[in-house]
Amino acid sequence: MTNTQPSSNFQNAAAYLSSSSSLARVSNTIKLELYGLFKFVTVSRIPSTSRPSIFDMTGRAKWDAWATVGKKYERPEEAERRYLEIARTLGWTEQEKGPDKREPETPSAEEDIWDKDEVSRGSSGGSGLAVSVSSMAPPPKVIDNSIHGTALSNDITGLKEILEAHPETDLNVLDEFGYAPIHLACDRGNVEIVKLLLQQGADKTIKDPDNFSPLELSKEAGHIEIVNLLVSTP
Amino acid sequence: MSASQKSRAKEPEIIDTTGDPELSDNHSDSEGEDQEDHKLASAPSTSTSQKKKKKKKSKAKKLLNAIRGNDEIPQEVVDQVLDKVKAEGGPGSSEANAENVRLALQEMNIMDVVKGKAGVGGLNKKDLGEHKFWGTQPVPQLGEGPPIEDGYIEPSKPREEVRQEPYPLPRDFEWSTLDISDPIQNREVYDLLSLNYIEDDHASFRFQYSAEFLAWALQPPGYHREWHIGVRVSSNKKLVAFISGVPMTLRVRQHVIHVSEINYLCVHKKLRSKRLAPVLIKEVTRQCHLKGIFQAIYTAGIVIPTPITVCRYYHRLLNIPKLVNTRFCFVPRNMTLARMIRVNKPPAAITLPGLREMQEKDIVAVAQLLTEYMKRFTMVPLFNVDEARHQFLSGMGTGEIGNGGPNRREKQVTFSYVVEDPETGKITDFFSFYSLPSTVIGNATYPILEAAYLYYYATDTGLQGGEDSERLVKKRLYALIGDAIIIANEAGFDVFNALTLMDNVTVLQDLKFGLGDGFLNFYLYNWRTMPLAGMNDEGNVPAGKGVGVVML
Repeated sequence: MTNTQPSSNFQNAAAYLSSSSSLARVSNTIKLELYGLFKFVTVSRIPSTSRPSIFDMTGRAKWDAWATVGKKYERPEEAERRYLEIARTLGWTEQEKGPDKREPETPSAEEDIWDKDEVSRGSSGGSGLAVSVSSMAPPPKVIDNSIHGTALSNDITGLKEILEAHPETDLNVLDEFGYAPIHLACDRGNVEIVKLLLQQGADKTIKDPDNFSPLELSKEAGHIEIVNLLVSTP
Repeated sequence: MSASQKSRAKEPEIIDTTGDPELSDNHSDSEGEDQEDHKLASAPSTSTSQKKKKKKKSKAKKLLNAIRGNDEIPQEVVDQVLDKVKAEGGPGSSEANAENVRLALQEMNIMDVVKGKAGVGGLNKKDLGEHKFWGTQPVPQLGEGPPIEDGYIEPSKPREEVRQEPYPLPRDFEWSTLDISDPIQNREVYDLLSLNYIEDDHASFRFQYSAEFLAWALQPPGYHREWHIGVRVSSNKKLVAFISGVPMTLRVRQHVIHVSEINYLCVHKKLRSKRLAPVLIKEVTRQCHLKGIFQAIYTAGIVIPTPITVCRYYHRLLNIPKLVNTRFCFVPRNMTLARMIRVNKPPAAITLPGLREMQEKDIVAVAQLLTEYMKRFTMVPLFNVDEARHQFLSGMGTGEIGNGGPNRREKQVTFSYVVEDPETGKITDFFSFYSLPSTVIGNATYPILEAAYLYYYATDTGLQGGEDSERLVKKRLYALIGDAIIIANEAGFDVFNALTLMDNVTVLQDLKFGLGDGFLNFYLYNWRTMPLAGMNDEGNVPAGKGVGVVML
């Protein structure tokens, strides 16, 4: 054990995460980091066991995550700070009382979120007969820092940076598919981007390849706030 | 000694060589790889191309390291996968490019690979502990080569030699036979499944098997109540686990076997650590043995020993705004929602003259047509008239069309249609689909996703043979399944799903189905057969045509 005890905030956040549904949507990378941080804070800086076999892929990934955290942070307080930071992005607040009221048998220090999560996936139950609901294979995640990319991904900071660095940027430039940034923002429902584009004087009457205006696109996609914004902007 | 007995005799050795993960990874990755290759080379195997396998494995390992190690996937790995996809030429492979391969790799998280859901290059042939149970069962073991001839693994036993007492359960639990026709017990199964049955990887959707769906799926003619097995908590009788079997007559190549179709294995989330699943499987097996049934068919999203084939899900998107909102699909980079809606809008009216809902009077003709058509495929169910009536007519709901939502009846599970030749009155074609909604987890606007699944179909087109017959069948199915999509759309379904089985592969792309992220592995219990053509071709059998069984 480490010589410092985890703070009540930490225990609170761990309890929150172990019952929070927000964790279900989090990438494994984050889950692994949380796991590593949790182990650092509650057990020791680095794992004392040897690295698990390559066939125990989960165990090995977890071991690696723990070791990585141990290299990155020196003191448990730092790991704890990082843990709380992630917890906050997942909806935890310091007032959150944790799950005691909802779920009586939640986690002892040994039972961390990853383990719980894994159990709930059913694989460790040994059933081996799971049928999952298929949905569409998702499209490529492309990092695109152009004005079109930031309009698509709702990256308001990114778009502002571009406009500050390059005030001469043409806001109405079309991408390879014939869309202006305002088309994409109106279609995907990115209100703040639309606001910024309008402030900066983007053309709100520009037509897309299907001859739709930004207003028509946002109506079609049901983004009422953007519709109102476009209508009220002179 | 039959071929199957011979390979059975080899089994313990085979288990040893694939079963002990500790043998092969003591130090660094590269050393582990060398050792594994060595081990593989010395393993007894009926496989003909060990070299190829070895190569595959080390490729797969690089791939895995890449996925596990960091988010960036090396170009080299992408290229390798791309080559493989193009070489195998499965459906949709023409669309593969570096970008979508990279994405697919990124999207496959660690657990997908571990669980073999994604099935990268033979990686799932690893013992992950769970396979210990399957090592004790009469199923082909991983690493065992394809059988020389089809047949059972363990001989059937006379009834008196079958274990007479139920398998022991952990303390505080007891066995319970469920009566699905009793609304209260049906509801118990429904509740257990809807809260604990398998979710997709990101837990966005969960199957919602309705009471009427379960009644339809679990009570075909000749069903045995004893095969609907539950586990209850002794103290409060709460149902915490379930497994079911229903009888089916199956033709696998030239053999006709009586099997149990095993489905709906479900253990309450809180009890997953009790390892109830193996004992449920053993108990349902015992109950099957008591009825003189020694073979079974089942499917799973994951890889266990040993799939006979794997199929992939495809989706025809109908209600685009809802599907995008629930993140079932995404607006492609090169489109807007408005364009996506337009592109996917189904035709306004059905195309085949004489298409109408199937009725009782059609049942003999449909059963005959189906029997004839199913000869096209390697593994198929054989339905007599009563069974066909159950499969296609019993789930049509009650009351008038329209009282259970637009263009459907209350409690309608199956939708079956025939084409009656307007001149001769002959039934020339038939199709069916069934309704299986999913709960959309955490979406207040759209709590339920209405999904239609393509079921059995048949046509007399091309049955006479002739060199043009395959083209004619394809053309006819395009019209037939195209009309099924239109009818599903009018009945308020959000999406129309199909697997890469039967003749589906030939029309999926033309009918605007998109690639799904779900896979379905097919298994036979106590029966060996060569791999069947599912997602991929097998020998000279084109993709899909190995599989004529649609599992619910």
